[in-house]
Amino acid sequence: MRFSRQALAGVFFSSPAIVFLVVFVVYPVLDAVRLSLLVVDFATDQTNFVGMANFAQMLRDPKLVPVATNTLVWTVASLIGQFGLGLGAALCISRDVPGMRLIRTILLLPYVVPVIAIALFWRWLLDGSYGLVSYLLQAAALLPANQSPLAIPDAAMASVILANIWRGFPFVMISYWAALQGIPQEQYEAAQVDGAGIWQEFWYVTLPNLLEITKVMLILRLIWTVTFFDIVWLITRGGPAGATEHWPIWIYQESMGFFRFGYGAALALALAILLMVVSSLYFALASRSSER
Amino acid sequence: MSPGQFPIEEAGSGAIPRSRLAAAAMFIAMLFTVPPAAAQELSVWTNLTTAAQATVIQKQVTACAAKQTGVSVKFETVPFGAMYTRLITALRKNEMPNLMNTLEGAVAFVQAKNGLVSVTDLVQSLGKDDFLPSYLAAASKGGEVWGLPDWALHQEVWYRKDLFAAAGVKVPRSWDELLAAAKALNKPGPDGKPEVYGFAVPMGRSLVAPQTYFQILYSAGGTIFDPKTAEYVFGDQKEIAVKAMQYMIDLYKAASPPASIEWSWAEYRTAFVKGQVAMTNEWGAVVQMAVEQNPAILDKMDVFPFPGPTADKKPVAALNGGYYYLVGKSSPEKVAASKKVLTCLYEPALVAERANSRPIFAIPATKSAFNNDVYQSNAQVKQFKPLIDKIFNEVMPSWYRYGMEAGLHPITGQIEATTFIGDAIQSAALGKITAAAAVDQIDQQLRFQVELLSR
Repeated sequence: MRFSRQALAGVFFSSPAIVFLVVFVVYPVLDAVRLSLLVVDFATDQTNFVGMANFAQMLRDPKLVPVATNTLVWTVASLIGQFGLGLGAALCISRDVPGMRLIRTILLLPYVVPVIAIALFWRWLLDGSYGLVSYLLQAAALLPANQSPLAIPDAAMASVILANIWRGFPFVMISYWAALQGIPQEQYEAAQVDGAGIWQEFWYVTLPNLLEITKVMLILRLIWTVTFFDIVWLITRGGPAGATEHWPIWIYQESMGFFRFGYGAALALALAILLMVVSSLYFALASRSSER
Repeated sequence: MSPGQFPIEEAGSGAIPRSRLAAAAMFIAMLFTVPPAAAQELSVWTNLTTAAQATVIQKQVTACAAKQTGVSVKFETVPFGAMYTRLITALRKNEMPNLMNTLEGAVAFVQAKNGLVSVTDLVQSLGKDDFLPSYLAAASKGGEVWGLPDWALHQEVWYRKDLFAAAGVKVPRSWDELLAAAKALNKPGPDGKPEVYGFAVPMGRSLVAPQTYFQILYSAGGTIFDPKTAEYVFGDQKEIAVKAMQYMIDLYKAASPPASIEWSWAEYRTAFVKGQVAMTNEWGAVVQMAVEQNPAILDKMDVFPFPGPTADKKPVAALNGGYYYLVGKSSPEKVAASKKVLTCLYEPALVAERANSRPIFAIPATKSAFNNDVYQSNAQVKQFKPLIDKIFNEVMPSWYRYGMEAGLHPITGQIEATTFIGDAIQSAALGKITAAAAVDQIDQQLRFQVELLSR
């Protein structure tokens, strides 16, 4: 069988990407699958094949339900907040008024500031004795004196979600803003001729035009949010009493705390499979709605 | 044969005799077989606590290595966050650092993985009696000592003398007296809200909650392992364990800021230094914080050992810790060179200088260094001498670290790297479970881990 020069050139030019994917994606994934079926002695690298025992243990683990619930709450609330705030901010910054360029830059800041700085900033704001947010909540009698939201389970979860919304909304905002620039002005003019008000313009012109970007962003942000470890770990370390411990923290504790690399890999793989199933369903539903 | 070359026979009969050629060959061979001891590089790791500590260690290690011909040092500071990962990688590659300065938990971790060389011989040659026995016991296993005690860490109650005097409170000698004192020291501000709390009970999920709980448990004689038989006994001592847990929660509810349920070191130290709390369990780092943030309280601080349950008996032990020097497994030459470096590092003045890089927080673990002029002439040591003497004589002789009551055990590292104890304590403090249920949770997880580690 002979390959054309064009086909060979194609293979040649794509080979760096193929090598990259094999080394940095395929190999780690396959190794994670291998690890999930083993019990590993981390020092000597000696392994013991245990089949699906790690997965069976996961299903019996008393942490499964609370951690899965926390992960769900964390993800859904973060996404709702980021998309709501991102869309609102995008609509605001799409107006062409003096100083808007500066405002856009400022609004992007949370996304470019290092997570450790954001975590320290939020911890400081929520400090029970010296934090501004805690002080205001205490003054409004919503918190006891010297109490911090980070010390109350439900409030701690709300706090890390709020921090994550603040951190992630600029990405949604800038994506929506770019999409808003692409909506033909004629559509708004036609709507106005038909007597549409601001809300009707938004509902019947703006939102439908943002549907495609929303589909892509939603799946991206879903994956990023579910697997986002840093901000929760740095603000609460999963506490108090495990109230903010989500799936990535669970993986970290098992792998780097108890050094159960096999069990940690099983947890990571379970999350990856779940995300793949959700993504596949999502894409199937999204393509069906696009065909209509 | 190419031009310029000639056979040995010709050389022997001509300008170059055979014997000279042999000598030249031997000389060249010797050049390539210079003993490795002439050019040995020792890798030295230290946990990064403060820049001052790392600087002193690097200076001393380099100077001590230079006393051996051909020995040099590759010095590296390893942050705590990366320590276990680095150690695992080093163990798997058989590239343990030749020398390492680290906490007792890491000593247990590496020893359990067969990565260390015993330093019993060094303890003997340096003088066993010079080391505080409690610090040697913590790093022992199987009749051998696996780490040389350097910095002694200590935990006791730090309190404000002026606030005690104003409230007419005496130094408590039992749990009940401590609880009563803490309540008496609670002080409302002009707006009726608490201005000063009696006792900070920090319960940060990671590290801090276990440190607070085991301080109370040890004072009552509870342990994870029996110090004599090394049997797992935590679950068998449930009554003591529950009593200590309940006492911790009572103290928290009676006299600690509500947010302290998630406080770590920075928060409770700040609270003490700023005058928000009158007492707290502490490692001595509040002194440096007070120097920087509120020097006015420096002469108002004092310490006492965390009391035992009843006034008629002294506390059984405290929860302390220590920094140790380890010798990693390597070639006999490098092990020998490393031990020579350590012998040099344990000159009393050098041990004292290292402790002085973080005075009060670190106290020398050898008597000779503690009594050395270098240590005793440090300005902060002089200022706090009565407190340091109390700590040295009353707190440091009897202590444990969770899981290491009978010597090294790798469970210590897992307790420190995970949060299962902190979770149980926080759940009990939040009222989600009872103190007994929290102890059961801890017992269950400890048994599981101990069983896994013993396989």
